[in-house]
Amino acid sequence: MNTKWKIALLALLGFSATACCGTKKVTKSEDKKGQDIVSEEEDPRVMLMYGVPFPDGQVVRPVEEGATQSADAEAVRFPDGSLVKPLSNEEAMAIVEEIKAEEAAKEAAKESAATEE
Amino acid sequence: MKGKRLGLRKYIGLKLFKGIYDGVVERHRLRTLFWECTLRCNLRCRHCGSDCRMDASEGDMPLEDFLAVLDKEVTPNVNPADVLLIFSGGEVLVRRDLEEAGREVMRRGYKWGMVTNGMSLTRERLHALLDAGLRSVSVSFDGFEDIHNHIRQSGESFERARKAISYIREVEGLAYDVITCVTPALMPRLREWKEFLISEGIAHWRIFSVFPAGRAKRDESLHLDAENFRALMEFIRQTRSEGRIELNYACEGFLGGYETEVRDHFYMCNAGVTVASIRVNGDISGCTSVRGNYAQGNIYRDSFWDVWQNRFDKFRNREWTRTDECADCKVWEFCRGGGMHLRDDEGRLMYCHYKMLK
Repeated sequence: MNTKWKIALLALLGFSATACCGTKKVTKSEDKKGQDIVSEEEDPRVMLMYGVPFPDGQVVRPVEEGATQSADAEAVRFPDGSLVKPLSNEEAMAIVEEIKAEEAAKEAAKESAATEE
Repeated sequence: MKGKRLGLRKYIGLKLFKGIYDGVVERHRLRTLFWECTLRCNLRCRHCGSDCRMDASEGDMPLEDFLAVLDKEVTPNVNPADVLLIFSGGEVLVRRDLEEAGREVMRRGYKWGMVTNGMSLTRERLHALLDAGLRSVSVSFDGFEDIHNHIRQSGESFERARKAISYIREVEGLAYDVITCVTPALMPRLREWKEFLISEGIAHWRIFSVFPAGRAKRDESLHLDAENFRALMEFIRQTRSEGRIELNYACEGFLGGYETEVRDHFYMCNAGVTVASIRVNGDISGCTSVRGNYAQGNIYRDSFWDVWQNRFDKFRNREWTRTDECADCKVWEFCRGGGMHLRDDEGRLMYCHYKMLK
């Protein structure tokens, strides 16, 4: 009886795939227009006595406090070829405040025009 | 309390798995390579299987010696992406060139991990190791402060390990687990300990019990008796069914009716089957937990790959373990004489998990 049958029978008996074998390595066959899937059997990985878990994820480092984009970061090139240096947090906040003040002034102007009418 | 009986369903399952495992032995693919890079340690734990201390009699293995084996013997014969390198000790963080070692193996396409007691793992060191390709880490955490510090013989070890785990948990995608060596002192507080780990946000937990090797051999107070061992198996089984924390019992030995209920897979000892180790003195062996005299060669004399391919019969064919109490044991075909680390220098079995559960 080959391994595939044994795994199938184990599954019928209620044992999970991890109990008896590793995950299947699936690769697309290049020479058959990507239609065929070739399964390569993997040996089971067990958690060893002095071992570590098998890594399968992408490590993402935590963002450290205060480590946001700095003013000295690389300049950005626009499609027209011009270079723009990214703003620091303070500069960006100052612009946001300016826009807010402009919008508030426009609203106030609209309101006074409406009352005059 | 009586142990769990091996029912018919599990018996058939084990029979089928036996055939699958024969294929693993036959293929003999190298999947995990331990590098015992130091025997120095910043702790002197009561249960240390390696008898480590700060002034280890054996010096660290120079990094270039290990890399030479990797380049000449291992990399030409494997796909580095399929082989996990584990740096082990001693305490690996006492090596100042650990980051360099990590960068070198990462450059060659290997994933690597390490086991640590967490004593000297700062956030900065962890980030430096991540930059050097660290992808998996296990931290020893043996119980509440009084228990952990007693076993570790250090008043700071609990708090340091706790901090180390919190830094590790901050890193998304870094594989990790927390390893607890369960001793009789922890048994009455095991549920409480589980709740503590869950409250700390720990998701992956591994338990093992002391086996009679190294320093632990001389300290009876660390050994679980049969009653406690059965209670431990029941605890693991229940915890796994709750699904609040992922828990596995280590690859210690065959567990009869508890097979697949206290760990994710059927029992198998992969020492020398898919696992090799290069010891600090250059010895080539199976798993680093195998402390007996089972080295099959030495990197300073022999070709690692030749040893792996041609001299690992002792690991791959365990017929020689059918002696003494194993000689007419009815579960030998599933257990194959237990873990290699449970055999003494003369090949005698020091501890039988199955017998403990009968």
